[in-house]
Amino acid sequence: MSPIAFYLDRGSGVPTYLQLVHQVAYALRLGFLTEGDQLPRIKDVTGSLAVNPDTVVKAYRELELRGIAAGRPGLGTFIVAAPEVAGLREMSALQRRLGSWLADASAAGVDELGMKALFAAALRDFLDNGGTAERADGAA
Amino acid sequence: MNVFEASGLSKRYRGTWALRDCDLAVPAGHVVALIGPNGAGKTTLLRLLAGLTRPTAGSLALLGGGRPGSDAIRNDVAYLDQQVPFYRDLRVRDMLRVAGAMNRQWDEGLAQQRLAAWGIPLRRRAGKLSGGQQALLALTLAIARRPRLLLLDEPMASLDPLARQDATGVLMTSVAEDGLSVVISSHVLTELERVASYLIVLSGGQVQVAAPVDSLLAGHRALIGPAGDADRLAGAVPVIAMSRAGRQAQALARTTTAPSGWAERPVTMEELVLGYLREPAARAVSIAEVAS
Amino acid sequence: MTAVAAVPSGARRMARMTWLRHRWTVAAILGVFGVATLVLLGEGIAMRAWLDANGIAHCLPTNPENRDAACLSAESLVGQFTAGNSGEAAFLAGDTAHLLLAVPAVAALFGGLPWLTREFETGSFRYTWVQGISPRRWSLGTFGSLAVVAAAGAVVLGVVFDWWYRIAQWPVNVTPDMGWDWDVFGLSPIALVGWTVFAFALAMLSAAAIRRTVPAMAAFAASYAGCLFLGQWWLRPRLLSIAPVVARQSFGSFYPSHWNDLWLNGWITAPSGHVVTTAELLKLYAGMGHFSGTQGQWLAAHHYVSWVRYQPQSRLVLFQLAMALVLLVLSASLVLAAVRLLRARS
Repeated sequence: MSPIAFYLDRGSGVPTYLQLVHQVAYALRLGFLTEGDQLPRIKDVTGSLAVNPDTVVKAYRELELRGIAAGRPGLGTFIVAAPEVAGLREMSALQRRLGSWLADASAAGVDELGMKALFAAALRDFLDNGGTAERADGAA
Repeated sequence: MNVFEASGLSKRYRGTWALRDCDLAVPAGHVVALIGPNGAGKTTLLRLLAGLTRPTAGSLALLGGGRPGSDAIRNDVAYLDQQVPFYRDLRVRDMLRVAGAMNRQWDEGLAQQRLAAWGIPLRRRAGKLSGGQQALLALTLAIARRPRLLLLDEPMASLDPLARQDATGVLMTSVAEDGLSVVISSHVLTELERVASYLIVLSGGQVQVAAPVDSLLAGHRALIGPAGDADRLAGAVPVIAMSRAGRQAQALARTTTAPSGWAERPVTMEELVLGYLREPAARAVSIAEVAS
Repeated sequence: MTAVAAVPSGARRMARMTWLRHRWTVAAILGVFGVATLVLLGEGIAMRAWLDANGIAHCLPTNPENRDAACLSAESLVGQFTAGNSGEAAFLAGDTAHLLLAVPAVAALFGGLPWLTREFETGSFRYTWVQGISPRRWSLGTFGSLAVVAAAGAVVLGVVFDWWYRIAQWPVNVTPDMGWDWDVFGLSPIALVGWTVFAFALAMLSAAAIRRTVPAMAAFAASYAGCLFLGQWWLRPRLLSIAPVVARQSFGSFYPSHWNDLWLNGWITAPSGHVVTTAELLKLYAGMGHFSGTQGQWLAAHHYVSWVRYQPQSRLVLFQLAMALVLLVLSASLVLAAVRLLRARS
């Protein structure tokens, strides 16, 4: 039995498999999942969420690529390592940097919605490019 | 192995061509979404796959070369549409026995488990069940046959959202566990997005799109840019559909990058399908990957 | 996937499926034959009791030469029992037999036809067509199962009819044609099974061709009546005149060799071999003069020979078998035609 269960945000526009990946990372961050825990079985996820099994396979493969999970044939998929959790000091430094960015945006006339849109777009790009800031073709 | 292969497949009904020159090769284990406007040929294709009717021209082979409707293939193919797929005057439990007698493989345990889970009474006559229960019974009768290919022609229309979720979940579990291939024709694009791994778009009896969903989504982008630049864009990348509104133009293009001056974002399956449906002449047919 | 290996279990599955799906049909078929059987049983028992009460039970069809005075006088008693019929006792048998010829048709009408038209009218036909069982096997299996039930009913009815017919043949001095006549030829167990299977095959073809219940029933009834007419009036006489036996018959005897031989025609030849016409025979009789015996004895003494062309009693079963065989072969082709029609119009 897995400690967590997945859910689906249908309207978010985020691909299903990514949602699952994020939910695992989130659960790890909050301590719902630790090393050695089993992820939900593929057929359980397909049954409860009514999604194509390929989607779940893709999500678990992504987790394997990131080194978070590993599949054991016949047994299931298990958490092998928690991602690096940034320390408290790093977290507050990051938050300060965010604060100055927000001030810049506000000075440029961007409102709350605009800030959220910019952040969402940047985050999506960041993740689509595999976690790097540069794009492969070098375009701005 | 391909779950089915069509070559030049055509079907004519009294002078109108319902399907014309269709070439398809769908690998096994996919959930195939069959989409298209009414009259595009979806039902015809499903009926041809089920062996209910024969092609006028061309060939169709199932599950590694079998002819649809032949004795060798019948046991592995199940078909569901809106018609009455059972005998109304029989009780549910008798209907199970009849289905067991009519098929070479029959999973009685699965059938009983499903009916119990959905609360369908065994003693009631099939015709007296509610519309939703009848649809669930029909689905149970189909999946308990343990087919290798399941053909669904808008079968979930009469189900409430919870039942539909349940039924889809059961189907997906079958796909995961047994490698079941499913071809499902439906108008509800948002639902198909979650379950489909292969997409076929039919328009006017011809195949517009036939490719795995992953490669389609990876190989298309939604581009936004200046309306004046629209024609240049059309020359630079394959544009599927374009719409202009004042100074801004939006385009669905088969590309992975945007030319300069244009912003790109990934497309959803709904956007992709709608884009192709708006431009019946556009094509995205591949046996392998679409993304370049 | 070996279809041959699956046949034994397939037959059992088909029988099971037919029972589940067509319980009422099976009941209707058995009911029709059952009612007819019971009616015959009732009538037969009543007639037998009457015969016993009047001491003429021994007059039931046997060698007519054994008839005694009691039997001959019983003719007058006929009217008491069969009030409303004509004097000929054989008519009693005839009327009921006419009605019984319709029993296979009625059974097929309510048992052989509706199951197929109902599949079309309710649309469940399409369901059947996409199951693991092939449409041909489904049609043949269901038809076969129902036809077997009907054939069983026909055998029982035929046997009871035989028994009943012997009693209904009144002690009269008319030689009864036991089993050869147009009406009863089709009612012995063997021929009845043939007509029953044929009726079901015809009903199935009607349903496959005309998919609506009432028009299909009408078409079936009309065509069955036509086939019955053809079978009993056209085919039967021709069948019965195949390879008859030609033999001498002594002038005194009633029958060629057995009292139930089927007499086809007879003639008398003169010693020279010339066939004697009726006019010549009358002249001969006129010229007999003071001969002290019967006309037959005079003719025999003068070396005239009576010839007869007939079918021996022993062949009756063979002819019934032949008729049944013809009907079964026709049934097979009708059923195959029906299956082909079903396939074509799916």
